[in-house]
Order: sequence, then C-alpha cells, then structure tokens
Amino acid sequence: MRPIGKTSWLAISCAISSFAVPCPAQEAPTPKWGQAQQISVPAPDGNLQGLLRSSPLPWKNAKGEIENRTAMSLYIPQRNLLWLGNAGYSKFFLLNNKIVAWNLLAGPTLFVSMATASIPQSPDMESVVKGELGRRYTRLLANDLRYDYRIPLTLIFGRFAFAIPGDATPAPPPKVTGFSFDNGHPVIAFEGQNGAKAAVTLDRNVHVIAATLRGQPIPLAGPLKPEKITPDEE
Amino acid sequence: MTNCVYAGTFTGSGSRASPSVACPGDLITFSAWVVDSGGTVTIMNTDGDCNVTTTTNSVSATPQWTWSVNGCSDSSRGQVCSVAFELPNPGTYTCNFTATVANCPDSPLQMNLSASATVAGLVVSNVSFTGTSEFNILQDNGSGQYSAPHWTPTNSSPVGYVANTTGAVTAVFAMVPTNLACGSSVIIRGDGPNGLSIPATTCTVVNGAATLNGTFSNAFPNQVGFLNPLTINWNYSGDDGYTFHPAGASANPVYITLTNPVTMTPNLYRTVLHLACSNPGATTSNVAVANTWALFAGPANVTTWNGQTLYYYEPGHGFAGTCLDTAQLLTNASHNGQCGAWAHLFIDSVAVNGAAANWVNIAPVSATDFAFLITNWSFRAASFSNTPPYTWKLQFATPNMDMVPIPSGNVYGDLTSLTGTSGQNSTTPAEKVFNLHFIVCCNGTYYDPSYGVTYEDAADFESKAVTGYGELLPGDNPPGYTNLILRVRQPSGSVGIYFDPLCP
Repeated sequence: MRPIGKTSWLAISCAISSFAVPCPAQEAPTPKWGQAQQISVPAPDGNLQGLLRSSPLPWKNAKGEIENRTAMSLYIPQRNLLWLGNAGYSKFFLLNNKIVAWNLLAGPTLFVSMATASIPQSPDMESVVKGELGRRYTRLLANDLRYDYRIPLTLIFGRFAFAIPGDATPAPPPKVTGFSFDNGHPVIAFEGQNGAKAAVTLDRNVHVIAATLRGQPIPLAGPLKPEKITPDEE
Repeated sequence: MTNCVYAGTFTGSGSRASPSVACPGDLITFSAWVVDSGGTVTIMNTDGDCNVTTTTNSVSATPQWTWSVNGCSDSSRGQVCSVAFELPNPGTYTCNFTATVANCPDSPLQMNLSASATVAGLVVSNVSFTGTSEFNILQDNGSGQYSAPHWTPTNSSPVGYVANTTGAVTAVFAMVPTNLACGSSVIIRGDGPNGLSIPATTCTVVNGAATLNGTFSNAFPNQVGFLNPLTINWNYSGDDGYTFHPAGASANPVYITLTNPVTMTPNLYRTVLHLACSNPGATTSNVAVANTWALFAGPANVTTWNGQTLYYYEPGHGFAGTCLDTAQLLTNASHNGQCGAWAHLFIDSVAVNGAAANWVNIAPVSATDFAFLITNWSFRAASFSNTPPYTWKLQFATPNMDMVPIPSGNVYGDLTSLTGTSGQNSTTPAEKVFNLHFIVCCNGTYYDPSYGVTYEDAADFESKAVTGYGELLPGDNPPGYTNLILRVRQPSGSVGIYFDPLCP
C-alpha cells in the first residue's frame, strides 16, 4: 500500500489539465465509502456474494472544474477480489478470476471495466483492502475512465439491426434480458427497441466469440476484443 | 289625383302554372296599366338588366333595355301597355322598370315599377369524373379518398388522370324550378379549355333532372399537368341545338401524371400529387423529378396543397410525437416530421410520375461515433482531456439525446447551438444531434428533402452539414443519470459519414 499525499494528487490533477492555470493548494479528496450493499455476482461455478460500495468522486475536468461523480467498488471476500471503477456499471460477473463490470449502452455498445486486484491474504484484510481502494481511487481521480473498455456491437450487428425502420429518434439502451454461462463462457442476451433479440458470447478474455440475432448466428471474422477507451495504461 | 301609371306585372307567354315562370326561350311580358295614355308610353328597364336574386349564372348588364310602346290596348279604366323580352339565363329575377307616359294630364308622368320572374332551366348539380385512367386521391386529413361526385355547388374535389389519356364525366342537371317540365329531352354540352370539352349530347329529362355521360373531346396533354381548375361551362338547348343556354359551370383541380401513380405508391395524398404535378410541363420522369425537387430545394419551406406548413423538427418541439412517414406528416395536425417522413414524402412525390427513388441511410463510419452534430455550433473550452479527440462535453437537459427542452442560452455543455442549418420551415430545426439520418437517391443524385439540399457523396454531406461527432460513455452517464452527456470531436481528415446504400 502506498498512501498518496497532497503533493502527488495535485501533481496528477494539475498534469491532466490542458490549461496552464496554477493549481491552488488543496487537500486531495479521499474516498468516503458508503454502506456496503450485498450483491450476487455470477460466476461459471455458481454465484458469489460481493460487497458493493460507492463513494463521491470529485473528478476535476480539463477546465479545472470539479464534476461530482461517483466511484464504485466491489469486493468478493470468498476470492479476495477487488474491483474499483466509475459508477457507469451496474452489472458484474466473475471470469478467469477477475471481476468484470459491464453495461450495455445505446448503439449498442458493451462497456466493460476489468480493473481487478487480487488481494493477498493478510491478517489485516480490512487494512489491505482499504489501502488498495485508496490507491485505485486516486488513479480514478486522475482519469475516471481509466479502467474502461468498449466493444461496439455495431461492428457485429450493424447500425440498423435494432433500429425502428425510418425512425431517427435516438435509440435507447438495449434491454438486457438475460445473463448466463455457457460452458464457462458468459452470454449476454438483450433486446433492441425494435424487438429484435440478440446475444453475445464472451471468452475468458472478454472477447466476443459468438453472436446471434433473432435466433440466427452472426458470422464473425474473429474474436472481437475490447478496446481501451483512454490512451493511458492501466 | 290619378296616377298615369299605377301597376306592373310579369306574364309568361306560355301556358304555365305560374304566370311569372317561363321556360328557356319563352317570352316574358311586362305589362304596365296606364291611365289615359294620350300618347306614347315608354317602359324602360331602369337597372339595365334585371337584378338577379337567385341564380347560378351571371347576367350581362348591357344593353339597357328600352322599349317604346305604341298603340296600347284599350281598357275600361285605361290602357295596358306591354313589352315582351327574354331573360337569357335560368334563375329568379327582380326587374325594375320605369313606365313613362308622354302626355299625362296628371302628375306624375312616370312611375317606378318592379316585378319578379323566374326563368326555368337546367342547372348543373353535380359532376363526377370517370374514365379508365382516372385514379383515386387520398385526402390529407386522413378521412380516405375523395369520392364522387367530385363537384357540387358546395364542393370541388381534386381529380387525377394519366397524361395522354381521355377522361369522361357524368354530370347531373336539375330543372329549376323542379316542378316545371320544359320539354322531355335537351342537348347538353360542356365547354372546357384547350379542347377539354364534352361534345353536345342528347339527354332525357326525367323527374326534373337530366344526366349526361360524356367523354372529353381531346386527351389530356402528354405531360405532367395541373389544371387549377378545369372549368367546364355547361350549356343546354331545348330547341335541338338551335340556341344554347347556360346551365352553370363546374370547376375542379385536375392533376395529370406521367404514369399511373397507383402502381407506384400507396400514399397518393393530395399534397403528394400536388408536389408531383403543380410544377408542370415535364414530359419525362427525370424532368418531373427536377420539377418536384424545385418545390423542396433551398429549403423551399414545403407546404400542403392548401398552404399548411410542414415542418422538419419544428423549433421548440423535440423528437416525441414527430411524424415518421408521409401519411403521418400529412394527416397529423402537427405536420412535424423527422428526416424519414421527408424522405418518404419526396419518394412518394417523384413516384407519382414514375421515378424510382431509393431510401438512403446515413450513419457515422466509426463504431465509436455514437452520434453526429448538424451545423451550426460554437465550441468553448473543452472539458475532457483523457479521451482525445473527443474533448468537448455535449450535455442535454434530459437523460435523452434530445435538444428539447432547450437549455438557457442554447448552451449544451461546452457547445452552443447556433442558428442553422435551415430545414423545411425551420430556420434552426429543434433537433441537430442524430444517430441516423435518412435521405433519398434518385437518378444518381442524393436528395435531402429535410434540408432541401443535394449531396455528391458522404464527404459532401459531412462538409455541408456535420460539425462534430459524439461518443457515449458509461462513466459520463451512470445508471440513473439525468443529463445525457456525449464527448464530441470535430471532423478530421477522414470522412466520418457513410451512405447506405450508395446511389447506383
């Protein structure tokens, strides 16, 4: 665990600003995790229990303005796995000993966040988890999309598979209709605004390896892998 | 004191139920009872012509009728002096006369007299257009087809024919007044412009009405046309065609198409026909497309046939309730359409004259680009630096990608919506951020009816219309978000738009 101090936070936040404005001396925000919510996390060998928490994330944008965002963390005690990311995710599964947070937005585009830390066993687990949360929270302060990936499903289904013909009204997010594992592969099923039902199957690296639309398989040129949203390295 | 002239009446010359009713061709007699004429009696129609009180025909105001009456008949109390004349048109008249006695021993020497007369005759009561090339037209109000009869004294419906074909009519005439039988058969003809006449046809008068089934003497011109209106002046004769009398006129808008539009589009609304034909003269489908496009281009601020405004995203109104196709655009009271409705309207309009037009989808090339922004926008300092080149924040007032409600100052995060680009009847359309856009391919040209412009290709579209592209990210829009946020980039070197399918 490496606590981050006032100087290092300022260095990060000032560094990401695109304007040469002097950064005033101020305290680095610290996470204020709320009450843990117990959730069930699907895994290939059965569901696991996880503890979901949220904390305010006063993220400073390029103009130096504070945007009040939210950080989320999920800890699975049975496996000592910890995930932390922005609050854009509401669904999770366990794959290849990693927590995968995911969300399906309009497009449709599948977003995943895979910043999983495996916490070593320690007599003071609470302290270790807290330390890791603090370290990742600080990273998130610098770049709230740091751990985000996207899989544009339009590359598989095209732009119009879920659109209502002739309707330019922006499409809402697809409705997620199911999540399951098929031989250890996550399968996400969803339905577009036009009623078309589809599903994508992921491999252990969260690459899309199979897809169906209206019950028919969609041929893929190869596995479709997630692309990182921000240029920095995890 | 005794008036020289003290009474005047009409008397029909024939044997009629009412002495003041005459059949066409009958002489009507006006009689003035004159006391002690002592000389020439003059009866003058002082209003030049009889005032028409009930008629469907106009009456010539000239010449002024003046008759000098000599040798009036004797009477025990004076003399009856009469003049006979013929009122030219069917109808009911009130006629004013002045009767003057040259040497009247008492005053006054003259008196104004009036009397009413009705001239019976045939008056057109309804007209139905028929013929093998006549096609049905849908009403814009969604209440179905215009039905026969197409013309009555209180209604004039549009009629459609295919060019270079011959139309026909069924016209019904009523005897007015109905209780008068002026012969058992009549000859009726309809005089229209440019040889579009109905030849004289013998018709039987049955129960006070006559029905004419006739065919136009000439075919409609072999080109797109709009007769606005086609007026037919109806005339009839009760004397085997020796003299004809007016029987009223009918007037109908007539649309003439190059091909039978029923086979090309089911959306044969009157406005669709109007857009296809009201800029007439085309003899080929290609020219017809150009003439129709002239009614969209600019944008020309398209209206319905009767001038109702049709909108492309009417300012102040968002996506909700917008019309998606021709039928909705024309029949919904809002008349507020998306691009798809405008594309359909143009496709249907050019199809009327036989042009095949194809629907073209427009979308961003990159899967990253969730949306594109139509001009005009101004960009302020960017909020984001971690997702270049998507650095500007585009923030909506609701969770939806909808520019309505409009934020204060038209400020949407880092971007401000400026005036333009104009759409049909929208200087600045209410919506300028889209996932998709729909245009039309016809004869190798991309037509965008929504904005009234054409494009050479996707690059031309981007150059003319696109200000930026937006991506959608979950971190900006967590579950339960209230203001949708896109991260926006400006167009770069490579074209960010594609057309599907391409114009052949």
